Amino acid sequence: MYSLEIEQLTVNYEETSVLWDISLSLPDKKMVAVVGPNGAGKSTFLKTLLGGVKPISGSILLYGQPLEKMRGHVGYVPQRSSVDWDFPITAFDLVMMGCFRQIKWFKWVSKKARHLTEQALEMVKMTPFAQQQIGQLSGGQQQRLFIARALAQQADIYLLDEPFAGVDIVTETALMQLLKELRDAGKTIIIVHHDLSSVEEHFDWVVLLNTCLIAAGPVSEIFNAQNIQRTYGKRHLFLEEAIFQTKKNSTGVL
Amino acid sequence: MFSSFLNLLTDPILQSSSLGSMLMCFSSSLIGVLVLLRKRSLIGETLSHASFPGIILSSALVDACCSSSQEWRAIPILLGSAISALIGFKMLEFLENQLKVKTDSALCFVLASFFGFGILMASHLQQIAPVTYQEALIFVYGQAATMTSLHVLLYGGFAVLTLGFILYFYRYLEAVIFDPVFAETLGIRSKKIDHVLFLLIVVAIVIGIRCVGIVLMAGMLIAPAVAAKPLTKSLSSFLVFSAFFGVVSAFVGNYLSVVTFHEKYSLPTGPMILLIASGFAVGSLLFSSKNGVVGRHLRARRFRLQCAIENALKKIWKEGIDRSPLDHKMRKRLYRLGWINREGLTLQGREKAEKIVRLHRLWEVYLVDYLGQRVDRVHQTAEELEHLILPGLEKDLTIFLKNPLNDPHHQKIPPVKGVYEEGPR
Repeated sequence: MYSLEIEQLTVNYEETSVLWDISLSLPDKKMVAVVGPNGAGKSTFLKTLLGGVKPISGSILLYGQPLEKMRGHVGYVPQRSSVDWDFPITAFDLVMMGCFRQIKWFKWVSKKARHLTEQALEMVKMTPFAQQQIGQLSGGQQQRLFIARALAQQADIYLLDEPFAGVDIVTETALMQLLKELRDAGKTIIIVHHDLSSVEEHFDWVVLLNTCLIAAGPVSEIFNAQNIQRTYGKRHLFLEEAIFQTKKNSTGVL
Repeated sequence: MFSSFLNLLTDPILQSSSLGSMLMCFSSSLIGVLVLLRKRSLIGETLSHASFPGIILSSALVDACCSSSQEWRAIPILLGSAISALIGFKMLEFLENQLKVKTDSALCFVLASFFGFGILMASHLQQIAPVTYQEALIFVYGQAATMTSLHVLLYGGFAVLTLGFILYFYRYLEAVIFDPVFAETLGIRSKKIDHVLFLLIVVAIVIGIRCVGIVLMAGMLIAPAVAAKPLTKSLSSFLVFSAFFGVVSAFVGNYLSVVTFHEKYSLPTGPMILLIASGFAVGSLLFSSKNGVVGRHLRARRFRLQCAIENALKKIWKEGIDRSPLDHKMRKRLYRLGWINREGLTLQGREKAEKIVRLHRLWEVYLVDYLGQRVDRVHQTAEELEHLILPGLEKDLTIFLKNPLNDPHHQKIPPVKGVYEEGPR
């Protein structure tokens, strides 16, 4: 069973990084790292999977279903820097956001949503902080909260955008442990990751990305010096320049 | 005094203006919360100015069609200003999205060009129809006192509409404004909700103008929300507080403008309302418990005092009460806390002192043994850290350091009896 199948995916929009002709399949129940240099399109890749960015061409299947049918089954942990931590929302309400499907119009809370939320908070050990405003929590607690939101959502596939940026090593280990438990419970975890040194230790699969797909497969087979060199090397400069030019041409910008 | 309070709501003349402005402030302060969270605070300023050409144009048209005394004239003028503000909004979108103009420049451009165009037409109107011109000017500065029951009805209707929108879409709004990417994955049409939201902003501004005027409308939208923000930790309480501040400002503003009424001068209602709302905002920024300047200052002072007290206590513990000169105030404080008596430290005082010294020395062990700092340099750092009181800190530190008996300066660390079962390992 594939958790994710992508056929010839191309994203080339004005504000996002470019993704060019990407085809790959990922098995389910795996920890997957998406690795590549800055501006390689890692975040764009996640956002495309989420449906937030519309591709120019190509198809995406999640568990054999098109994105539209899998709405609500994709959990998402955004990049820390993109969250407005000052927003007046409590930990409980943030997690409850994951139960959106359980809440009917005009009803702010339903019994089932409350139950799922409490359960999710318990799983990430955040119950004591339920009524705190999110800005008052520590970095690790904030990340756990977003993971809890995905849990409450009962998502099958988890997308995390650099979840370990700006958290200390103890917290990172604890979060990793939590994610591994989720994988063992049958979920697929896809993480945009920037720390090459910990890929081998924590992940089962790796997707090497630099505008194009460099390689995707089990860490033991794919994650070697040659592929990393190809991902971070300069050989793509030529293609990038060409794609940049097509983008300008197609939008008419000088 | 009390009777004039009641008068405001029962007197047929005062009633319209007070009820009208309260309803207006109610809906605009609810919308203001969403505007503030969407980080589009300046949009009120731009759109209220953008409605000006519409006001002038529709006033002139209405004037050409019917006699000037009819009350329903307010409606086509409102419609005209709404259309004008909407065009301003569309232009703003076009500038930002298509022409890639920076947001602040786009806001300035729309504000200036629309308002300028409005002034141009207004000066022409002044020449051809001076009375209508005077009436149109009401919208620039606002005039709550002359509002009629028609306005109350209009504001009431809009208040219900706004409240309905927010109650119905509460969870949607929360998701869309807080995390648009996530909202998209749930299949929420963020764009549609955003559009309705901006439509409501336009309507809130346009109908509010009659009450507080073009220039002050932006403040009326934002001030109650700014006042409410530091007091809240969830969207629902944010909305409730903001609406509360809005309605109270409207009421008090009306009240003050009525009681200060005098034959030669009077305080206009609109600016009065806004001043009250701004007063709330400043007050809450200064005094709110979470981030208020005053609260922060007091907390910082309390911590400094706590440090001073603890240091004095430590000195007595180390050198005895006779050899530690205490100023009168400090002696009194320690006495009141029950930590000293005439002879010296009480049992309670000794326990407290030992706890501080213990923490100090534990920190020194940590700094030297685990962070590799120089023995002669750690005292100063430990001096700061010993005052931190975090639940479980001492226990965690003790267990982590494996309950050391001596600090790096070979001084004995005061033990804690029976608390940590682990003991020295």
